Amino acid sequence: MNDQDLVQAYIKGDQSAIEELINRHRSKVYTYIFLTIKNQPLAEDLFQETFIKVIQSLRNGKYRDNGRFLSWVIRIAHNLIIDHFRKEKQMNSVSNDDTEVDLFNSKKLSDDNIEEIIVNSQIKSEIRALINELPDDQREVVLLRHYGGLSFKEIADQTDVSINTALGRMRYALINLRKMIKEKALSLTAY
Amino acid sequence: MVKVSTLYHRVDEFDDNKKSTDLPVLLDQEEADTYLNQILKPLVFDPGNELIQKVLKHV
Repeated sequence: MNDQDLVQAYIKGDQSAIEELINRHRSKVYTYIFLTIKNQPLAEDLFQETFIKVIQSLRNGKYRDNGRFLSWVIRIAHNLIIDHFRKEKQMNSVSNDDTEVDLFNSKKLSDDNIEEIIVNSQIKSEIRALINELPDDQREVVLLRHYGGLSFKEIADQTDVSINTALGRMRYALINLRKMIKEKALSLTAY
Repeated sequence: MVKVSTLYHRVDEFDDNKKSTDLPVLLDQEEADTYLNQILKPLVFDPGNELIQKVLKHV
């Protein structure tokens, strides 16, 4: 069943359909949130909030199905992240970086063998560092495009810029990524 | 008699910036997606079953 079928099944009362949808997209949505806010506990909270809002919206008939369920979920996550930072700014609280948790030491990886964990960790760490080095506006476009599959029109709407600006940010992001990979002599063939 | 070269003709109203902002940004979207996929494919984190169970309580 595709996403559209599962959404319709859930709306008609099939509870297992939403479970299937969440499991299908859990990693992309979680990765998008985590890479954007760089804080594991907060990412977990926002991940929960995102899907609770998804469930409520589906129940209340607020979802207009256009075959782009994941993009819709990512837009909800994006809005919740913005709301969070607005609230945080108002409260003038401390930076999230202080509470960042190392995901690579997470118990979730305990079933893999040690060598695999180390290699995976190094690769992920290097790529994550590349993404973190991008300017915020470029990183935002990259994450929305890759993990959410948003079109450039949707990215432009979501980030309140013109399509030309969104395309330009992506163009510069790619230039910067290529430059950083060259400078750090990273080998993509290993990935 | 002094000759003045027209090659160095000064144009006060010329504005490069205005022209360039109207031009569409050239981006091969397919190539961009392929490149991002190549780099970011391994960069996936899983929220874990415990968190999923918490979410499913709201279903």
